[in-house]
Formats: sequence, structure tokens, C-alpha cells
Amino acid sequence: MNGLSHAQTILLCTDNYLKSHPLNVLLCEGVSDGFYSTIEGLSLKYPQQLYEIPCSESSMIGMALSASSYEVTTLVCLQRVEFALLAVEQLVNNSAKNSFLSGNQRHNPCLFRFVIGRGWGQGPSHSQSCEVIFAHIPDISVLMPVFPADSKLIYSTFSSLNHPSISLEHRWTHYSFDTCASKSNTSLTSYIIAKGKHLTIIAYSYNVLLANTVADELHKFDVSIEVINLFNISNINYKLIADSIINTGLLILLDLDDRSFSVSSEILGKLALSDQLSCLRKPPVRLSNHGVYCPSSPALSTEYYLKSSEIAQAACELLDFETERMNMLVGRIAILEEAFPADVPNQHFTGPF
Amino acid sequence: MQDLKKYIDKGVKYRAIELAIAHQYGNQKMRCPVHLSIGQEYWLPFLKKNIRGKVRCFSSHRSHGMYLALEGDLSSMINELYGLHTGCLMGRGGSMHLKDLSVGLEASVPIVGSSLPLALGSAFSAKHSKQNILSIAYFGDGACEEGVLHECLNYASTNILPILFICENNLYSCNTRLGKRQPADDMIRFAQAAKIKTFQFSSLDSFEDINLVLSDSISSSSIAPAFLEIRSYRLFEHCGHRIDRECGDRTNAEYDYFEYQDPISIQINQDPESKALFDQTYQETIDICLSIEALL
Repeated sequence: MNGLSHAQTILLCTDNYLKSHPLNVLLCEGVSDGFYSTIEGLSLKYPQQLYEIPCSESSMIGMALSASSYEVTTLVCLQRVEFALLAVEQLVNNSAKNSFLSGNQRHNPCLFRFVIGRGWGQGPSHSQSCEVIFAHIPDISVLMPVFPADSKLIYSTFSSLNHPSISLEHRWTHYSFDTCASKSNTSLTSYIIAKGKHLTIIAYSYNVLLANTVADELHKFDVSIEVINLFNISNINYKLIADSIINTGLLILLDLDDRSFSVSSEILGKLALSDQLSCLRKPPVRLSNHGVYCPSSPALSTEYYLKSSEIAQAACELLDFETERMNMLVGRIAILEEAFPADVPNQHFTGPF
Repeated sequence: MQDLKKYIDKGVKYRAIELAIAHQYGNQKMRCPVHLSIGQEYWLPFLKKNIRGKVRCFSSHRSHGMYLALEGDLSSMINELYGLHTGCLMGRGGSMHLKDLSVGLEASVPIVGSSLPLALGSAFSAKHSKQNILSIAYFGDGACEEGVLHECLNYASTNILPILFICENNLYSCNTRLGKRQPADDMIRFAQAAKIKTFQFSSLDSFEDINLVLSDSISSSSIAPAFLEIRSYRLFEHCGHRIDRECGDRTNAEYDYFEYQDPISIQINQDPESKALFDQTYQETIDICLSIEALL
């Protein structure tokens, strides 16, 4: 699978999932539309296993949760995560509760691919990634893949779990490629994507790519940043985090959603309770988007989203960079950010979402 | 009629069990909400009588009826009401979540309408895997006010799933009468809008007719979705062990009308054998309860 993009990898994994067993099914609104090229052509290749679903998210997600505890295994794709909010009742009340009540006799491994995003395709109704909402529900794996290997691992693992999995798939990570570190991860938990000794950045989803950009640029200034890809926010590897901050003594946390009641809040709370923040030389810094809802306008949304240059500035301040050095670094990253419009993941993206 | 007698008497037994539970509930030892099926037992034995092959049922919070209809183990049910590990859910669920996988009661979910997609998933899985399994969604008139019912009817019809929707319309959601909640008093109109074949009977119909309609609706649902509306009258309060003849929208006159025509009471009053069976079952259930309470 070397050399394939994240989206191409998901397509291949979905193909393999359907090929591997006729009782593996896929449900999607617009099943023949390709779903961002990640299921392109599969409705013709596996017409008996791909099901069109109506605009009935609550019943369809409940149906998938239930069906997976019987003869079939289900995979459901929704164009944006907010549509899944119509099915929160089913996810809360019927995710793994039936298995609990039956003394583990009704396992229901299934996979929900809910897309999140940034820039073109987002807007006020598509502002949030909602990962914390799902992570509050017991016995659901909430996965936030960044690299092809992340999704490959999700596909190879989810059907062997006893409970449902949600993959919050960032639209802009569809263009990512694997690194040596992402390819060497073998478990559904956090892993180090870039090793370093001066500063730890904890990130997930698209923010990992922003953190990597900062790490690459700081490397040119003889600073090494350790970037941790949380990957599975319902199964965070706290030992990995603790070991990292003991080593670096400085910490930045990047939230994809709002900072209140967030993933970073949970991590900081857990670390504080176990007295593992005392190793930090300075208070930790957490960053996220600015404002409550994402505006649709490209100009306004530029001000909304967290940028690599902001992370770089926070890193420089923690590392006590002199002003001139900091400006130089932040300026270099700003030039990279301005290479193409801020509302698209790359110069080839032409919308609509 | 004689052929049906043993099934009618099963309904008598279910009444005895439910009344015994109501009697013991006042002792404050069953510490979970109970939603009794008293007044709604008369048709339950005919469901099991007409099921051929494997079945997967999904109930609402008023789950005693479906548990008894499928002949789940009585002692396990009573133990569950007392919250014991020997209960059918190991004490995890209580009255509102009853299940017995060995007889096909897959789940009972107290959130109104919540178990409907589970029944749909069962039917979807059975159809995709070409298994001859009947899925039953059992719910009340209140669930017809939930959007998810319409989603499920729509999908079941469009995809021709083998599923039987059984809506027991007992006129009340908690203490609120149907007329305050819906503009019409029949539930089949929702299924008809989804082009699903519908069936109806009421507690005022003969047992022969009830048996026939259940047989037809179950047969029909083996090849395409069917919707059965059962018109009953709940004789006890929504949640708890008391008679609530003047609570909420109920009136004495209405209660008297339905109580007078309650088919199980008529059977007990008219048939000495049925009366003896009632007395025996009632005492046996009380004895199970007392033996548990003695250990608490």
C-alpha cells in the first residue's frame, strides 16, 4: 500500500472489506457517488453489498448497530459528522448497551465513517468535529485517522472488536501520505509521529499535519519537537504522553474542536491527577480554532482556523526564542501557509466539499 | 373454541403473574420501575402459537407481555425484578429491559421508539443473509409520535424487509389520552402512508378472530413488512402497581366500560377451570416472590 494517498488507501481497504466476505455490507447516502472517491466504483463491483440509505440517520445508524450483532457486519458512511447527531439517541442507548445487558452475547462490531473538515465545504452547520460527544459514550472507539496506515489499521481491526467504532475522517487528511512512523504503528492507540527532545506537541486529526509542519521548520533551527498523534481518543496512551513530557519538559496540546470540555482538558486533567504535570518547566499551552462557529466566507474562515504559524509562535515562546529568531521562523511558516488559499487543502482542490 | 382454550388460559396465567407482581411490588423490594401489561395479556399466547421458525423480538419498556408471550423463564424474570444476579439480565436491567435470548426476546428498550431500528437491523441482516427469521417490533401508540417510526416504516417498505410491526394502541401515553396527542385514533394510517400491509384487532374481538388476524399478519410479514395494530386498554397505571381509574385523562365511565369487557376477566369469571388456573398461578408467583424476599 506504499505510495497511496489516504483516500486511495480507504478505497482499497473498503474494497478488501467487501471482497473478504459477502456478509460485509456498506450503507451510504449516495452510494454510487463515490464518497470523496473513497468508495468509487464499489457499487458496481459489489452491487449486492452496497445499500443506498434514505435521509434517516437515526434509524439507519440504529439498524447498522443492531444488524452487526447478527449475521452481517456493517459500515456506514455519512458526508459530515453533524448528520450523525440526528442519531445520537441510537448511539447513546443502543451502541454497546445491548451487549452489556446480554452478558456480552450480542457483540456488534461495526464502523461509522463520519467526515469532518476545514475551509471550503464547512460553514456554521459544519463547524465542529464532535469527537468529545462520541467519546462520552461508553464502549465506542472514537478514531481520528490522519495517515493511510491509520485507516488501514482501523479497517483491519474494527470487525474483531466487541463494540462499534467511529472514524472521524478529516476531509483534508484524505490527501496525506504515510511516514515511517505512521506505518510502524500497530495498535489502535496514540503513537509518536516525530521524535524530539525539546518540546512535546499532542495533536490529533488534521492538526497532526500542522504540528508536523512546525516540527519540520523548527528542526532547521536545531530544535526537535516530539509530535504525538493521539489517533484513538477513547484509548489514549497516557504513558506515552507522560514519558514524552518527562523528556521534553514543555507541552502544547492542539484541540480540533472547542477547548472547553475538550480532549486537551481530559489529558491535562488525567496528568494533573497523577501528578505528571510537575515535570513541566512551564505551564502547558493549548490551542484550537478561534470563535464558536466556522464562518462560510473564505476571508472570515481564515481568521477562524488554527494555523501552523500560531503553533510555531507558541512553540518559540515556550522555547524562549529571541524575538528576531521567532519572527524569522513564524515568517517562514506564514509564507508556506500563503502559498495557496487558506480554505483548501492543496492547490488542486476545487470543491464543492 | 376448545382448540383455543389452552391459549386463552395462558392469557389467564399471564394476568395472574402480573397481578401477583403488582401485589408484591408494594413491599418495596422490587426496586425498579415496572410497567405492567394488565389488560393487554389476552392476545399474547396467540402470537407464540402462530410463529413458525426463528423469531427475534424487540419490545418497548412494557416488556413483561412480550417476555411472557415468548415463554421466557418466569423465575428468571421475577429474579430480575428484584435485581438479582440470577435474573434474566443478571440484575442489570430490571423490568424495562427484559430479554431472554433463548426464546427470541432480543431487547426491550425503555426510550420510546428506540428499539424500532434494532428490529429493523435484525430484519435487514436476516434478509441480506437469506435467513428465514422473523423480526418483530413491539411498541405502543406513543412510539407512533416518534420520527424514528416513520423512518423505519419507510425503509422496511422500500427494501421489502421481513418484519412485523406490532403497535399496541392502549389509548394512553402515561396518563395522556390519544386525542390530545394525535389528530386520529388509528395507528395503521402511518403504515398505509408507507405502503405497508396493515392488520387490526381489538380486545373486543373474539379469540378466533384475534388468532386469525395474528396468523395472517405473521404470514404476511415473512415476505414483506406488515403492520398490526392491536387495540387494548391498560387497566393499571402507566408505571407502578396501582389502578389509576381517575388519574390524568381517565374517567370512571371509560374505565368501567373497558373493565367490564376485559376478555381475561370474563374468562376467569365464566370458566371454573380458568379460575382455578388463575388462583394456582397467582399463588405460585407469590411464592416465588416471597422466597426471594425472605433472602433480601
